Amino acid sequence: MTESMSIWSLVSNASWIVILVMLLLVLASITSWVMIVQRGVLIRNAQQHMLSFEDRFWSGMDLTQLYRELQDEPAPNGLEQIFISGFREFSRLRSQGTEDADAVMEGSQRAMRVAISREQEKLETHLPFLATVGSTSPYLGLFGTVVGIMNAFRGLANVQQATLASVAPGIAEALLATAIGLLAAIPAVVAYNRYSAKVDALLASYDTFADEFASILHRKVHSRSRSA
Amino acid sequence: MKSSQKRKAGKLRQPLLEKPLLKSAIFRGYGFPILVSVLLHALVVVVLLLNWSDQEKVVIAPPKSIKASVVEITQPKIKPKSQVQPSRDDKASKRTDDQARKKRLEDRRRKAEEKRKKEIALKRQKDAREKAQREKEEAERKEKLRQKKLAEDKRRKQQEAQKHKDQERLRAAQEQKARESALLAAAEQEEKDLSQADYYTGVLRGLVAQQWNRPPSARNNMLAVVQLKLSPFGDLLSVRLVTGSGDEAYDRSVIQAVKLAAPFPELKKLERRVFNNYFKTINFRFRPEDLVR
Repeated sequence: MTESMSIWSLVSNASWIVILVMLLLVLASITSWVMIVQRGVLIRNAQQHMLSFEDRFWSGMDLTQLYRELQDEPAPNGLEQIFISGFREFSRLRSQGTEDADAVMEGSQRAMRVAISREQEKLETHLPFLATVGSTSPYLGLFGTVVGIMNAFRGLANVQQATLASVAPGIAEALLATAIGLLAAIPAVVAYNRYSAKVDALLASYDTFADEFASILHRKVHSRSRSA
Repeated sequence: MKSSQKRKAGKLRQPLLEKPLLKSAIFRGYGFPILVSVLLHALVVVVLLLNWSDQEKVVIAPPKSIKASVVEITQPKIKPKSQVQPSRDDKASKRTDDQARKKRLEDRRRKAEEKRKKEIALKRQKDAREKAQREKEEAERKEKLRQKKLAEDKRRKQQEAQKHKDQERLRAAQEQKARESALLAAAEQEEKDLSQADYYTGVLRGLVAQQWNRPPSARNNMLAVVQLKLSPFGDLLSVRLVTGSGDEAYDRSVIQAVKLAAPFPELKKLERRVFNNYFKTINFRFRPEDLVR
C-alpha cells in the first residue's frame, strides 16, 4: 500500500472490466471532441456563407446571372443550393411552357423544400452522437465504478482486519471511471445544446429566405401571365 | 440540347472521377478535428499525471552528535623589523684612510685592556682568599643549625604521619559511602530508564499491532524479528528483517505494519539518553498471537 498512487498504477491495477469501461469512455471522449471541432467549423462556415450569399442576393443583381455564376462554383451549399434548386425548377417549368402559374410556384417551392431538408441533414449529422455520448457516458462511468467497488469489497472479505487502506486504492481506481465518464459527457452535452440551437437558427433563416425568394418568383410569374 | 446533355454527363461523371479525391477531402475535413481532439486529451492526461505524482518523500537524516572543545589560539609573535642597515660610504679613498686610523685606535685599545686584565687578576686572587675563609665559618654554623632542624623535623613528621593516617582512613570511608550512593543512584536511574523504555516499547508494539493485517498463512508459533532505526523525533529511518519466520507473507505483513505505524511521535517525549540507549536501533520480536488484540 506504500506504492505510489499515481494515475498509472490506479489504471493498471484495475480489473479488466473497469479498464474496458475506461477505454470505451476515452474513445467516446476523443470521437466526441472530433465531432465537436468538426461541427463547429462546419456550422461557422455555413453561417458565414449564408451572410455573404444574402448580401449578394439582395445587391440587386439579375437572378439569371446569379444562377449562372453559382453553377460555375465548385461546391454550392446552404442558401446557394436552395436558390439553385428553386430557380432551376422554376426555369425548367417555364421552359416547358407550363401556363399555370400556381403549378410553377408549387414546383419551385417543393424543390426548395427538398433542398432545405438536405441542408438540414448535412448540418445535423453527428449531433445525435454528441447527445448519446452526453447522456450515456456518465452511466457507463458509473457502471465502471460500481464494478470496481464491488471488486474492492470482495477483496476486503479476504482480509481479517478491515482497514481503510485495504479498500481505498480499489475505490480510488473505481472512481476514476466516473471521472472519465463525466469528463467525456460534459463537453458533449454543452456542444450538443449549442450546436442544435445554432442549427435551428440557421434552418429558420433558410426558411425565411425560401419564402422571400418564392415571393419574388411569384411576382415574376404573375406579371408574366398577366402580360400574356 | 446536346450541349446541355454533355454537361449533365460530365456532371455525373465528375463525382465518380473524384471519388478518391472526395475521400481524401473528407479525411482532410476531419484531419484537423482529430488532431485537435487527440492533442487535447494528451494534454489532459499529462496535466493529471503531473499533478498526481506522489509527494516527495522527506528524508530525515539522524542528527549528528557534535563534540565541542576549547581550542587555544596562539597568536604568532610579531617579528621586530630588521634594522635599516647603515649606508656604506661610496668613495674608495676615504675608505682606506678610515682603515688606517681604525688600526691605530685598535692597537691602543688592546694595550689598555691587557693592563686592566692584570690588575683584575691580582685583585681576584686576594678576594678569593678572603672569601674561602668566610665560607668556612659559615659552613660550620650552618651544619649546626641543620642538625638541630633535622631532629625537630623528624619529630614533627611522625606527628603529621599519625594525623594523616587518621584523615586518610576517614576520607576513605567517606569515599566508599559516596561511591556506594552514586552506584545506587545510577542503578536507580537505570531502572527508571529501563521501565520507561519498557513502557515506550509497549506503546510502539501496540501501534504496530494496530496496523497489522493477518495474512492467511500466519500461524501462531511464527517469529519474525525486525530491526527499526528511529530518529529522536519518532520518524522511522529504516526497517529491516533480522530473522524471518520462514513465511514470506507474514514477514512482509510485519514490515508493512511497522511502516504504517510510523512515525511514532511519542518518542519525542523521551529523554535523549534513554532514546540513545534503547530506541536508536531497536529489535522487535513479533509473534502472530502477540499482534492480535
